[in-house]
Amino acid sequence: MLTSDDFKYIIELENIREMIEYLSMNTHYDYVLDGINLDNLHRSDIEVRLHKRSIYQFEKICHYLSGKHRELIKTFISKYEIQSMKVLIRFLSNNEEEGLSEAGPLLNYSKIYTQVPFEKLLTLDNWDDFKNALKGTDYYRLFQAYDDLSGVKTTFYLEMNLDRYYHDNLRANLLQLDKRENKDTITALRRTIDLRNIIWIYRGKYHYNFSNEELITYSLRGGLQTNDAFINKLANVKELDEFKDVVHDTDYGFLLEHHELTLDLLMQRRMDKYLYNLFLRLFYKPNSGLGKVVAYCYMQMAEIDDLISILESKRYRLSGSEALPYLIRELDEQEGKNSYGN
Amino acid sequence: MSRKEKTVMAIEKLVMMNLVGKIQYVDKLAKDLLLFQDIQPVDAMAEIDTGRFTINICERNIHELLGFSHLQSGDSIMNEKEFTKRAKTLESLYENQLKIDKNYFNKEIDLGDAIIKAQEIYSTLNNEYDTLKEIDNELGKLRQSIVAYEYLRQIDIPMEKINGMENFSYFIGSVSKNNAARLKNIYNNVTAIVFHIGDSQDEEVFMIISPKDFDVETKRILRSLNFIYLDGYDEKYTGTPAEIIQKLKEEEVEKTLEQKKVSKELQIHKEKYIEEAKYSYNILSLYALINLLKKNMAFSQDNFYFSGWVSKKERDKLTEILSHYEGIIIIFNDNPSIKPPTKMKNNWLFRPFEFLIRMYGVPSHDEIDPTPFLSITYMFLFGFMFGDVGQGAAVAIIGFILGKKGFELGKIMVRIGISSMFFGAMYGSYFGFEEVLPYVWLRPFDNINQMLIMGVSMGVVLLLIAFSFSIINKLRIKDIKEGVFGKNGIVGLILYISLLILALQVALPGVLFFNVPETILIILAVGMLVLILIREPLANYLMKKLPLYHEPPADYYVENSFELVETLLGMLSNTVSFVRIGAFTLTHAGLFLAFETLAHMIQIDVLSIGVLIFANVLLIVLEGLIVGIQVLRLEFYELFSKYFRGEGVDFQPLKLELDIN
Repeated sequence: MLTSDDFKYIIELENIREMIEYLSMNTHYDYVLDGINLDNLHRSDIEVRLHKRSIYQFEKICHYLSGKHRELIKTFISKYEIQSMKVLIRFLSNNEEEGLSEAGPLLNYSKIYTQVPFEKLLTLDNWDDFKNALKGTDYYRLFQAYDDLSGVKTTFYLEMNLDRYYHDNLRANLLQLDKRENKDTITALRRTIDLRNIIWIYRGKYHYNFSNEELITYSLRGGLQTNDAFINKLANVKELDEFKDVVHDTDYGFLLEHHELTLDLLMQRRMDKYLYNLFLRLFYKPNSGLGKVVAYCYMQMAEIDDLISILESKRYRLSGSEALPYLIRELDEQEGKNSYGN
Repeated sequence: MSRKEKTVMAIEKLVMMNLVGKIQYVDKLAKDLLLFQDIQPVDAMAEIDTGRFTINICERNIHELLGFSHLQSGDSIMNEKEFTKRAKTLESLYENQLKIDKNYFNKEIDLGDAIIKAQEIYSTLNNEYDTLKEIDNELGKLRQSIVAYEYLRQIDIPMEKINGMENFSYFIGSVSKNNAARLKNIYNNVTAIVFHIGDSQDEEVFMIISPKDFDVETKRILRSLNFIYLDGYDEKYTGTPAEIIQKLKEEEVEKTLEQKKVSKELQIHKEKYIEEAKYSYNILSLYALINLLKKNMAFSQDNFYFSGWVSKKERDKLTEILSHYEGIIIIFNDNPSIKPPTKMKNNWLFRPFEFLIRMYGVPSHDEIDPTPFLSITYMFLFGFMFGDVGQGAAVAIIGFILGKKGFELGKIMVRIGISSMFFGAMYGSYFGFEEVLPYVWLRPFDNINQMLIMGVSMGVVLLLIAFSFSIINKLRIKDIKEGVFGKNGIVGLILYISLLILALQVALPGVLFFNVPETILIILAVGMLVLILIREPLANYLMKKLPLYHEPPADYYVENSFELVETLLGMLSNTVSFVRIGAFTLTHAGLFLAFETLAHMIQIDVLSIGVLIFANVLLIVLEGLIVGIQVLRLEFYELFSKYFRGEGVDFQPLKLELDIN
């Protein structure tokens, strides 16, 4: 993985080109950035390539695992497949006439483990065919209730549907793991579900005005502290202060301890940072069973998120110190603590 | 080609046949070619475009020559789809009972008649098929409704009352188990009554009753749970669900009877028309095939042009068939400038082994066909390593049954099984027991050293043969570098022989009837190694080719020095590798001995017999498989790698088969 020094160096670089050059010459991203056209860099192309690194790594990890452990990592890989499905749905709802033929370069998925016939999907241009082509995959059932993409917020609903599907799978996999051996891993992953639930209900309630029932139906199951009763309670809260009080009784009060103006802006980052430190601890914990692998996967994804944030900061011409708060990792920490081997 | 050459090569010499004929005979001629079968058509247009399709320039051929200037490719003008479609329809009506039968092609052919007959059969049978399909459809719906109403069986209220509710709507459908949990979570929130009425595979089924005023809201929530409405309910069904189910089941019985009746009638009609159907199917298929063949031809206004590979010895026969067409020009090209495909020709004993050859690769047309050598050695080595009269017979019988079912491997098993029986008689082994039969030659277990030495000796002989094949193959394509100076060429052979003699003289003095001074052998070996090392510049120098090296000389010598080490190691390991022939012969006897001892120790007759039967099954299945693979490994790795390139392309003659898809 990249070291803090790598990040410190990259963040101070002048522009995106220099950054890509550095990554492709000096880091393990050389493989995925191979052949990129430095004179004509596209944001989506770079992002897709960076994420490929995760897929590639996770596939390799799968070779060394079997049974339910392997299934868990395969679920992580499916995250990219699901992301690609979201891309296709957005593309289809925006370009009903042209179809999906141009969407190919935006997709990222594991060719080994995908259940989706992406090649076929790219030849299609309407929702019915799209749905039918997915018969035999889990996705067909997810989209079955939707006759077209035209309704208000339909794509949003479908995306929520996909996220819910991912987390239902994650939960099912966690239930399969040996509880004693993987206690910390299971707890960490259940905490990711907690945080997503709280953020979802907060946003759904105060920004998107979803009904209380929908807040519940789109919530994720399997959280550590956000059980059914808690979700019910949170969904039925009216005032923000009351909401904060309910959340305050959990471990996640920090999410809302902010001035209202910056609350939304930094909520996601606070979650990411919290989880990053959680998984970092898991990574270094001895005898954590599958923990080291899961933590590595999480940190790999976080590393790529950080790289993408730096890319964005360069696009908006932010200086290194201005970009710093948007990163998941803390670069100010004393040297060595953050660089956990290459 | 001389007879002798043919038996050695077992690869038939192919020639390119070019034909020009009058366009009015094209269909008839195409039919003759199809019936002849032993031709691989080539795109004539491409042959003409590349200038390989030539005819004599003389006045008699002037029209044909002129035709070259405005040709059209058959691929663009011929269409076989119409015929294929009709043949396919007939075939599907008869559910794959129709097969191509050459006898229909020899009679007078009336295409129009065939098409009309096909149409007649189609319209008669198709009506009945449609009726049948409709009944199937209705049955499907009935069964779906039965399932749907079963969920409501407990409700003792007539459906018309439920359907007629003024202020309430109801929804019946299913959600995934995960979403069912979410639905239960909002029981208290929604203004609806939710009943769990059953579950199917991965889903749970619910009935939801809500005030009509809240329909929009309820539907939205249901959709957020991916609620799928259950099909099969219909307002036309009245009475309580139990009554409806009763009625539906009665209807189902009625429909099933009707279905049986119609399909019986259909069967009768099908049998009535079977002869006509066969005739039409064959004629339509023939025309489809003719048109497919014509796609390879080129056409001018008056002539057609055809190219194809035929075996050289068939050319007279073919000329005789074709020469009665008026104005036909037939040209055979013995040395075409493109690489011909390979037609392997082996007798009944060796032919099944072509399957193993193809697993590795098809021999090139100018290469020795390795099939006879592989067949003989495979049978010999397998028998030697797995010699047992009883077990060999079992392998042969299983192989015979598999062979009948169309597995090519089965035919190989018959041959190696018989070989195993032969060696079994030699060793006096019968289902593992060595006391039942007297041995003819020896008992492997009493001659352990002899078996191992015999294995290696056989290996030496096989390797020497492989060397000679390699030399012949390479010299045939004038590859001096590898054929003469290569590690598998003449120089390599001399190196191998001198090292072999040296090793024998040092390790087993007196075993050879002659004695060569060791210094001479060493000098010879070193000399040969030097020749192998400098083979590229040497061969290029002798052939007067420049540059002498194809890479920087330094690189060349570094690489090739390493290769020399590999060559020496390879010779040693290749030879020693054959010790497994003897080793497996011993394992075979040894394994059974172990089981036999076990059987004696048990002292319970039934169990002992059980152990012995198990031992035999295990030996036949597992050891048979292992020996089969080990022999294949010796063939592929130790021998093929020396002399067989396998870069050929299979000869694909015309087939009287319609690929309907």
